[in-house]
Amino acid sequence: MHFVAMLAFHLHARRQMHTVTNRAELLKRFAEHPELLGELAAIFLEDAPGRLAAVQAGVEQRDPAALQSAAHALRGSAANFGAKRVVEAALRLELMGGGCDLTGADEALADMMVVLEKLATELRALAGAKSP
Amino acid sequence: MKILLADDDRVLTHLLSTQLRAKGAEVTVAQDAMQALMTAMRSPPDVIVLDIQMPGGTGIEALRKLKRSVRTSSIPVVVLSGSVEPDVSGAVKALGAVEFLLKPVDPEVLYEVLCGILPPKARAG
Repeated sequence: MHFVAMLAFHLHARRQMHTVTNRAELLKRFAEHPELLGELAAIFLEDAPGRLAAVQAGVEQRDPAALQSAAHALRGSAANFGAKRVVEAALRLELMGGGCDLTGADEALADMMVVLEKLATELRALAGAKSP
Repeated sequence: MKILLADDDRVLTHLLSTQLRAKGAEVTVAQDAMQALMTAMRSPPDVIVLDIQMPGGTGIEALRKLKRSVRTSSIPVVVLSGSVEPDVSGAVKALGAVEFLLKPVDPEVLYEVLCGILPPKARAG
């Protein structure tokens, strides 16, 4: 039994390492209004493709101001869910735009897309579970 | 309490407006600076909660215009920002904002700030 509990703890810790949101923390934060979390997740999922497209356009067109603005918007929206890895990835692009130095922007964009997709997957699960 | 909430982040405006309405506030949402200015002129709220980094960098300009207009200059403005720039708080307060909150914003914290700014009559209304 002790071994099973240890294994469960280990698996939970490993899962947390690979997630971009803290599901338990989010559910606790919205414990009094669980339907609100689903609504917020649904709104994020609706807006995320447009926000990502704006970031991609900023990188592809090598437009620092557009990149800074688009990455800032995406960062702010992700921050509402405490998605630190997405926030950090978006901030990296935002700072590149702000500094007018887009060296490494393609790689930074690719990195951000990976964690953004993870966030979308996790929010889809939350939205599906919590939507009315 | 009549609140005009101006932010282009629909996740945040839904979160804040839902939580503030649950506390009895009347919340109008504006998704950009122009809409915020027009709404504030047409129907002045008790307080304005304004994101200064909306697309086009129009939030700061909106704050300036709100503070220049006789119709809106006395309305307290609480500024929200996710800016990583230093001393944004000092800069917006110099332009007339009464308070500055860094994003992400906790609805409870915002409500407490608004209650601290507004007179009891406006809070009850």
